[in-house]
Amino acid sequence: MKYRYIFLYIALFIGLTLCFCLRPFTIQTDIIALLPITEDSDSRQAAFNHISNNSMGTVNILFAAKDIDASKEAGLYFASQLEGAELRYEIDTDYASFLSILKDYNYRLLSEQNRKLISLGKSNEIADAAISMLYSPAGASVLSFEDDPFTLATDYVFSSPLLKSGFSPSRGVLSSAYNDKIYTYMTLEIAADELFSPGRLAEKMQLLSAAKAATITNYPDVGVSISGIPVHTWHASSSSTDEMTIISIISIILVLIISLTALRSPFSFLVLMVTIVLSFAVAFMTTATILGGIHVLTLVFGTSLVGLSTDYMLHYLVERGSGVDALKSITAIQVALALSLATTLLGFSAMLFSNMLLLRQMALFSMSGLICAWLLVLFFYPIIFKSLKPGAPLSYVLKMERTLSKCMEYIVNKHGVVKLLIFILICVAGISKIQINDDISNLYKPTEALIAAEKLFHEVNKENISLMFFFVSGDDSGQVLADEEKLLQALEIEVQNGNLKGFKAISQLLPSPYRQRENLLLSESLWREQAAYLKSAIGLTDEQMAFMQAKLMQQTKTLTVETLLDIEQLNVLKNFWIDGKGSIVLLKAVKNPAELAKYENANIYFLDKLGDLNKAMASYRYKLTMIFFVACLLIMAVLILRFGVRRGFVGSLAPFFAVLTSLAALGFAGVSISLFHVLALFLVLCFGVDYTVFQMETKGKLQFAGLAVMLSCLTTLASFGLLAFTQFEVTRALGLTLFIGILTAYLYSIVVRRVV
Amino acid sequence: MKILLSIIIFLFLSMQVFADVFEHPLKDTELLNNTIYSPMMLKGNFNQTRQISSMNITLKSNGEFALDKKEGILWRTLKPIASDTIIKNKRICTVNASGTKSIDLSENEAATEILTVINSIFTQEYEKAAAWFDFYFEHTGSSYTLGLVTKDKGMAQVIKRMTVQGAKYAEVIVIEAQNGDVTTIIFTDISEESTAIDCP
Repeated sequence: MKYRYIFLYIALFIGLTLCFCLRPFTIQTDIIALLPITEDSDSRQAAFNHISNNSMGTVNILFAAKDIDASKEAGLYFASQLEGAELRYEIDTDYASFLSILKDYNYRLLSEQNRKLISLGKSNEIADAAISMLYSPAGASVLSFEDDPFTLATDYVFSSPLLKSGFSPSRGVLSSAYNDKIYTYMTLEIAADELFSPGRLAEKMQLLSAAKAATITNYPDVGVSISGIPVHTWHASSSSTDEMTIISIISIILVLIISLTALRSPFSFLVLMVTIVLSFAVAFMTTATILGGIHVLTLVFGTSLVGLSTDYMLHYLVERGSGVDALKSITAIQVALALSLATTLLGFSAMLFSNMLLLRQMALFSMSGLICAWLLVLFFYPIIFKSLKPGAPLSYVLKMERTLSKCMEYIVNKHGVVKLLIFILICVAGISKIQINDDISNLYKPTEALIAAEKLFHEVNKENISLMFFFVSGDDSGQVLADEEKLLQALEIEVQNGNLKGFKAISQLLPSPYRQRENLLLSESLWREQAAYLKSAIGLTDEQMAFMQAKLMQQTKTLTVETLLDIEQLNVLKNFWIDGKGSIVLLKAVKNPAELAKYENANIYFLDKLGDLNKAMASYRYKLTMIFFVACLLIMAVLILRFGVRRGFVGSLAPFFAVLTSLAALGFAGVSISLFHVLALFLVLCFGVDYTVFQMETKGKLQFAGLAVMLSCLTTLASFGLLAFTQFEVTRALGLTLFIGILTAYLYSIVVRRVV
Repeated sequence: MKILLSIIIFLFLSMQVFADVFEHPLKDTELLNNTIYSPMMLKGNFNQTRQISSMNITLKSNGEFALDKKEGILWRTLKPIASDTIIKNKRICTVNASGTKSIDLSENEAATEILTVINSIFTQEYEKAAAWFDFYFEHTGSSYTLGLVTKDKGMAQVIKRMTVQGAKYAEVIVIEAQNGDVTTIIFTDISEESTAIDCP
């Protein structure tokens, strides 16, 4: 019978391996994958993706020097070190195509100021400025006099916020002056397949670092600063990988020490290691096959599987080591093992149904790994240890467990009720100090050097573009531009009210067809009112006037988005336009998002992804807290069903108190609670139930049941506790909460064994 | 009429000299710093002739100028239409019959850069223009002729080349636009005196 299950298990393993080999998967490193999925419409999501994709793969590189020549020379040297990379440094400043468009459409492209002047009957001011300019040595115009006698195009170009940028084309590169230094700007585009492949990204980043080092060596007076999302992705993934390696090694060493000390059998330890490796492999393959990818943070979290899966093995090995027959050992603990697995899976399932891909991966990884470990212990261990036997536990380990048990018993023996009340009061005091923080930006903390590089880039760039933006949706480009113009009028008021510093949008360079017609009418009005003045001031003939006016009459065609986007030098405009979907309005230094959100309507969306995500985090935290209480009741019901009302109720209090203790400890430590702490509390509940079930199930039946639980707790602490030292808030929150929770859950489980 | 004739003859002769300067590329821009005097402040008069080639019109104007490396530049056109243009602290102020207009270019790096370059020609701080122009130079006795050919493609859409002729100070500047327009500015009564340069 057992062998049939073994064959089934092997078949399942081979099937899973085949599926894993056939299904393509990726090791994910992108920080975006950490974020919960918000309930966005397709258009909103498209807008967010557009913004993300435009900045996701861009590495920003700045070269700081005393002058542009030195900066450019260093930049070119840097570029020479990266042959074949998709660098953008030297730019084509041939604006002939753009000037040609201005020439053909200048009467349709009026600056806001000129529109106002003509509308208010002050067209003489435009004429005066144009004529003064002609006679002044300081006068300059982007178009010829006959094409643009009123210098409308010059005014339009210099007043459009879209053409204002921190970096300006100079000497064939983009440069900016900041703090008495000249910065030239280079970008490196990293393709998505490289960005999400840790190995290839690391390779590219190492090349960048080498190029930076070589440049600094050859040009000691030039500063090189590298920033951008790929740098953060690389930093995050490389430190995750490093952490994963370190945690795995330390976990294994700790488990090795614990196991060898307790079991005194190298062979048992070898079996334990094989079980862990197999569980890890199954967890990896299941997650990658079902979810199509696995995040490096899941792997970091997955190292905790070492501790979890070791629990089941230790229960068996301790029982077998005490001299019980191989098959009888498994029979003795199988109910406890099943109950323990069921309660742990119940805890992880809360994560499985969360809206965050990362948490789903973590849950699936742990659940599949645990089931694998459980099956291996259940079906393979009786065969493996049929003739072999692990050593009996060392006496001092047993002594330690017994001393600990006695200590806990002593604590609860006298004035138990009073002590319980004091304990509850302390918990309440700690919990009352708890602060909530759902800010998702806390998830990742870059290094000081990276923060400084980002800060420098934003200061040199001077753009201060916010993460919030508007999306104007629609498939008719003319209507989108018209809607955008109305929105910009409203935003102008918000700028005056101090709710934001400014904005950038495509309609600041390309008016809607409606406004273009309006501009043409205004230009005609300007001609009617000022033609005579221009003629006399310059001394033009009737023929010359007619020649120039004819150019105005020829401007019958509407300037379209497609025409403008075709100009290579205006490539930046593509950031503002999503073909067939709508346009994006970038916002600068938003101070009051609520005031801007009121402009949302059927076609206009205000996208505050960070705000949305923070709200989603708060909402999930609240929902999970509710689910947590439901889970407590369910576990209590299961325990009451198994152990009766009194024992079941008291037993269920132990994990609940462990949760309370964790919360109080976090409160006293001044740690702000987030969704991830609540998730960790779920795990504390599961582990707590696990320990309690073992203590209750095996009480009086097994000789070393208490020892097995203690060893389980120690190995789990060895793996989960280490997560508290990781760099990421998610794993750190889980690690810290679990360390406190698991330790107290174990101690309370001893009390339960004594009481029930 | 006599003055006009002398200006035309001067211009004609100058153009001949200017044509030659572009045969003498300047390899070491350091030579400019050693040869050309760059005063801290200047004031004087100007006569400008702007030829709009496609329309076959010539626009003449005259007025006063003042420059101060720290303060900025003032162009005061007196005839035929009075107007002031002041370029100071990344701002352009214009005063004409319609009143005063001020444009803040502090957020427009490209415009600021162009202004700095053009100003550097007038203040004879040529190192600031080195990024935008190739230099050609001829030096005879106390006078010099400097040719500047636009090498930046963006600026070349508007300005083709410039020529500066001078001795102690720049005396004639000729700006040739890409569309064939030619602007000639002749400076007279130059002195190193300070003048208040303020946007009203």
